[in-house]
Amino acid sequence: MQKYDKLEKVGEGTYGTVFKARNKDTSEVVALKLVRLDDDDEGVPSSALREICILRELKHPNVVRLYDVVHSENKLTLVFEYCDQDLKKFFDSLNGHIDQQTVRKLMQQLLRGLAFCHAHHVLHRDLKPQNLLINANGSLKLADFGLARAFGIPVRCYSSEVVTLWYRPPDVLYGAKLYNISIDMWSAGCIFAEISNAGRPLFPGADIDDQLKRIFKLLGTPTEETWPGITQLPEYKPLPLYHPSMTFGQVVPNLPAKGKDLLQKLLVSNPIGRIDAEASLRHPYFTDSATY
Amino acid sequence: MVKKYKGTYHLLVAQNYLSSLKRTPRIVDEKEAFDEEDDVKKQSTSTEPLIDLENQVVKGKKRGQYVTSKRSIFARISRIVSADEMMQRDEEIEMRMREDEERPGSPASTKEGFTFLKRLKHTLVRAESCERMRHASGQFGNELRPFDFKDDEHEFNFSSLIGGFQRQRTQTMDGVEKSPRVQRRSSAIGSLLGVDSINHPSGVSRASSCEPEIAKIREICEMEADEHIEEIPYSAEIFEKFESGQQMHGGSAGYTSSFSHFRAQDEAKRELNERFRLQFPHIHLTFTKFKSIKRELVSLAFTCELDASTLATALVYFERIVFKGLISKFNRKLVAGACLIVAVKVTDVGRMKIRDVVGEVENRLRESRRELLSYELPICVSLDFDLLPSETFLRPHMDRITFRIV
Repeated sequence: MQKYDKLEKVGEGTYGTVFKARNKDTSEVVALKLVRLDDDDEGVPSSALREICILRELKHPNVVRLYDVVHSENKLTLVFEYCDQDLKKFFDSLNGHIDQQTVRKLMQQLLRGLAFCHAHHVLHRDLKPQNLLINANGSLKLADFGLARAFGIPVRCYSSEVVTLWYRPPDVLYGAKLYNISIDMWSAGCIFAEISNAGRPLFPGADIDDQLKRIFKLLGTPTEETWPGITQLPEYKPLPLYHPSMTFGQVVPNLPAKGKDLLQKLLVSNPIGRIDAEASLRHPYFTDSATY
Repeated sequence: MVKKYKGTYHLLVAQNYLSSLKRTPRIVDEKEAFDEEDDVKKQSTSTEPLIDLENQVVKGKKRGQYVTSKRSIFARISRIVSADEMMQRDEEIEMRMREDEERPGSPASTKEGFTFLKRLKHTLVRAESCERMRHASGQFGNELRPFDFKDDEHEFNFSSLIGGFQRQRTQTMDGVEKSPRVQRRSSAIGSLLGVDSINHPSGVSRASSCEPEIAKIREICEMEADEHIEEIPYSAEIFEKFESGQQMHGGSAGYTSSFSHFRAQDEAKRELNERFRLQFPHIHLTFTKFKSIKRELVSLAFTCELDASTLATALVYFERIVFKGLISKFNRKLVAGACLIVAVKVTDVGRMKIRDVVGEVENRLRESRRELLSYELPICVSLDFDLLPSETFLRPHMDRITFRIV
């Protein structure tokens, strides 16, 4: 790592410390993710392996670039392109107010990055503001592919221990073992609402039950009629039949009507009904310049 | 008394080994071995002959000459025998050795006879691969090995595999690189990749520049690629085709099949292995061993309740590495086990935790956990970190897995 000058510690990732650093040759600023390898139990962390093999395939302006991997005796260093901050820190700097034009730009980039991943048969499975990086010029990049996996090859079951609770869709909360791109679309919806509210999380549940209740208070409790097969899900438990007690207007007051429409298409309890990234980019919210 | 008895025992075992070696076609010529014995320097730290051997390889490489290839089998065996006797006297060293290379608590490991046999085996395997190396164009063992770090500062750089920079590459299906060579963004590995193993058959001078291990892997891949893979790219069916071709080869199918009925089983096995060796001269593993290790992986996957796609992924890794000629009798189980572990990590694991899968692999293959895990990254590197095989590679394996079970 003599090639890089460590500048400062930026944060703690899921499996290691992240440093801001400068390449001595090119004076390019990069982010170094240090992965410790002295865990004799499991060897190389699976998140690091996933990140390397997935990001080497994904090259897109809205996906963080992996430049290099350096292996020294007891650690692995992943060299990423550097971004100024993550979406969560960006929220903190907003003081509760966000320009709707910015909301649209950020959301569009998020969906573009996601559409690209999905087109390359990659599920991110851990979308949340901490994993979205933002540059001073306003560009947004998907990061932290430590839980990501390839899809497309028929599989008996996926892991259901994915996605941070607040951004986890109802089907996965019910223990669904088979899901697809709809898992990321739900998270995108939650983030959409959060951005438009300048950083107030949409469903900040305390546990799985609380999470489900919060969701169904907005969307109504799904039944076998509205979501055929729901009772067959591994961890299905009947919940009180909530009728939507809140409207989207109350939840995302700042969002224009077309934005609310897109949000409603993203936040659909039944995964089959959720819009995909490609289609959501064609939604009038983005295409119609007269939104504002 | 006991010591004396043990000495004869060792000699007996050594003789057995050597006489069985004589019968196999690829042995070290005994006379040659004796002649070369003079070249071998006596080593004071002979308690760890294997490690010495390794060091020799590295040192030899640095000096651009190969001490290893000149070492005779006899010298090594005699060293082990004497080393074993020294061990009796030197309790401390023995303790250290046990800590170093044996799983604690394994009753077998405490038996000196076992240690002796194990090390003898390793030495012979080494010797065989050295011999093989001389036949092959390289002067180093073209098998996959764990990374060897010289000091704390030493590191390997994989930027070229990640593709962090623009490069032209013509690629065969399994991702083996061909010329035109890479334009480098970072200097560390670039120099190693720019290497053209064909023009410099020794490969030594350039490999010594900074990361010999990784250069070795790359070079072998390129070498093998130029010799073989160019003609037949890796495909998921390649080994299956070979096997099914078994009954049809030779003149008329009817004759062959009726003949094979009366043929002794090991005769057939021998012929199969011979045919395999002829068809894939760069793979230094017999077909029967290759099959049995694959079967082992399948049964491991069942014990761990892994998904068919995970097992198929592991098999694709393993076959690609075998096909690249990076496998040997010595590393086959470690590579296979580590392939499964890597596959589990990039796909989803079922009910078990990764840790438990690693434990299961460790127990079943009877290899140490640390050694298994030390193969993870070399495997990834030899596969160019291309760890997500396409459906064309996975599908045939998954079909086979399904049908064999159902």
